[in-house]
Amino acid sequence: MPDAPLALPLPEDFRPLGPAGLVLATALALLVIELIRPGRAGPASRGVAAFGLTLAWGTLLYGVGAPGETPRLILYGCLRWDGVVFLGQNVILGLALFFILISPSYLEGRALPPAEYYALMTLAAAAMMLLAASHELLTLFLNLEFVAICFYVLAGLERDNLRSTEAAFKYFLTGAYASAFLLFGISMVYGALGTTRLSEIHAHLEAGALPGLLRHGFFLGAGLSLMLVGFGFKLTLAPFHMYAPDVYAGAPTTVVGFLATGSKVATLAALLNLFRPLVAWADLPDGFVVAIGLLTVASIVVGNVGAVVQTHVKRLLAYSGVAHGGYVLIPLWAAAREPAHWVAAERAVTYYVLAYGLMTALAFGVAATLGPQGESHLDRYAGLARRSPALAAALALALLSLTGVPPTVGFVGKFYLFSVAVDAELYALACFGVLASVASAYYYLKVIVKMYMEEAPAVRAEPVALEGGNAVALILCSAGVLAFALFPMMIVL
Amino acid sequence: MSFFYQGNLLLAAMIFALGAFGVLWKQNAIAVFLCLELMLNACNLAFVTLAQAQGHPDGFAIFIFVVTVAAAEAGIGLALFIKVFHEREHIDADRMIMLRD
Repeated sequence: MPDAPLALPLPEDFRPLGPAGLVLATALALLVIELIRPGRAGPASRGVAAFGLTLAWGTLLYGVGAPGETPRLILYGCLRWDGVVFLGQNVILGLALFFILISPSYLEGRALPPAEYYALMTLAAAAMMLLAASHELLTLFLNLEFVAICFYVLAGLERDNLRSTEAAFKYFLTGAYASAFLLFGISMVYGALGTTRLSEIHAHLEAGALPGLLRHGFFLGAGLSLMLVGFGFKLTLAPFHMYAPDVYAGAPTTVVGFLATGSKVATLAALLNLFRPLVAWADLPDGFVVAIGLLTVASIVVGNVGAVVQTHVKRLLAYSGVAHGGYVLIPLWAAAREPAHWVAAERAVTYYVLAYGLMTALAFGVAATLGPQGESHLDRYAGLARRSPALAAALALALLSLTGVPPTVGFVGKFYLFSVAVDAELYALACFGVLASVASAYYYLKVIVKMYMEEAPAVRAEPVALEGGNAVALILCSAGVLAFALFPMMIVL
Repeated sequence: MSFFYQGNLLLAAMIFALGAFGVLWKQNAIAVFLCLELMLNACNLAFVTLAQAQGHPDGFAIFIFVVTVAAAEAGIGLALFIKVFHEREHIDADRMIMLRD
């Protein structure tokens, strides 16, 4: 701790925070609008939300711009500004805009208060942007809680829908439980290292000395494992994934989509920040590495096996998210075992952050656009290709990307993930990942077959046109799924 | 600063374990939430003890923020429980089975 008087943060420290601040201001403006015109703020809200997010995104791309080669620490080392954070924030803003564009058609005919809905989604987006940049353990905890609390409310926002309330109930209790584990882990790390700033932790671990009170390596290892419980919950890794199918099934589809994509994107960026000092630690406890390995393998197995038997769209996507969480952990496990591969692992995970966000958002976007026929039983997707060809094509693209079929972003992403494992000579792990991806083709392609080759279901299924904001959002997202696969060098890290 | 910080930390660990067990065991949502608060306060105890024992004031700042977060979560959680109770006339975690597979 500095003995000198506390210096105020420099003004240029706030430049990278500009976009997040703009999103926050938009959220507050939305709440004020609801205050001024209670109950009649719906149409204005979505305009203000979309405008605010677009303005923030423009500011991020052109006003702040890509960061330079060297990462910067801002606000006393609590936040980090580098290429990973920049990409993460771009992806989060893109996802937020995507779901805001999809929302109006979804909110029609549903008892969701529009102004609060848009305000909370925007607030969650701001929280995610800050979470991606968190470089200090308390900041990390606060931002994780911020995101989580927004989603606890969003999940239960639908009035007169018992399933929505139950989803929020389950999500709240399990989420708070996981956060408590995370917090206790942070306290043990604080005890072992005497500091919560990840930059200082990095310096201490590189030197190999534990300067805190709980000097024995056990406490740091235990603390990190407890933190992994909290992260495992947020990333829906097995065995902490159990809330996901229920919550995804009950909560409103656009909320679930943003939760499944945006919060995972932000949490992965934060996890990268956390792992960076860990792989620099020569004495990383074997127990911790084994724990990561167990999470990886369990998530891949549980996610794929669980998805095979699913007949409910959102549950299927939940288990798919579990499996993808496992895949994303593969390079991190490889880096934990062979620290020389950290840079490659970081690049692979960062690219996958973009890839996963795009393809899962596309899948949820189609489900939300289809409305009531798209968010429950898979049988209602039968014959979708004839009723709504554009939507069926978009969903088919998303599912092919999730399987990992070229030339989609899912294929390139998995290629990067597995090549880190291969480079680290973990051939069994890479083979396991590839085989699991092949096996996952069963449940992804099952849906595509249902859409294209089966007759329409007995229940009356209206064709749903692709128009307005939904069209813009889905077309841009589909284009992204293909473009970032064909031109991955657009992402320069 | 030498005080029996090991005792405080052990107490924190025990309270945390008690809370963790209680969350899984208790049926009523309010009781579950009480155990959650127990867990968070155990963490708080650990932070404050470590801050005092290490002479490092960061732990005190963390304590303030964690208490604030716990209060915010309490607000959200209790509002949610009220909504659940309005709909179902009970808040038993074991009887929430509408979303089961």
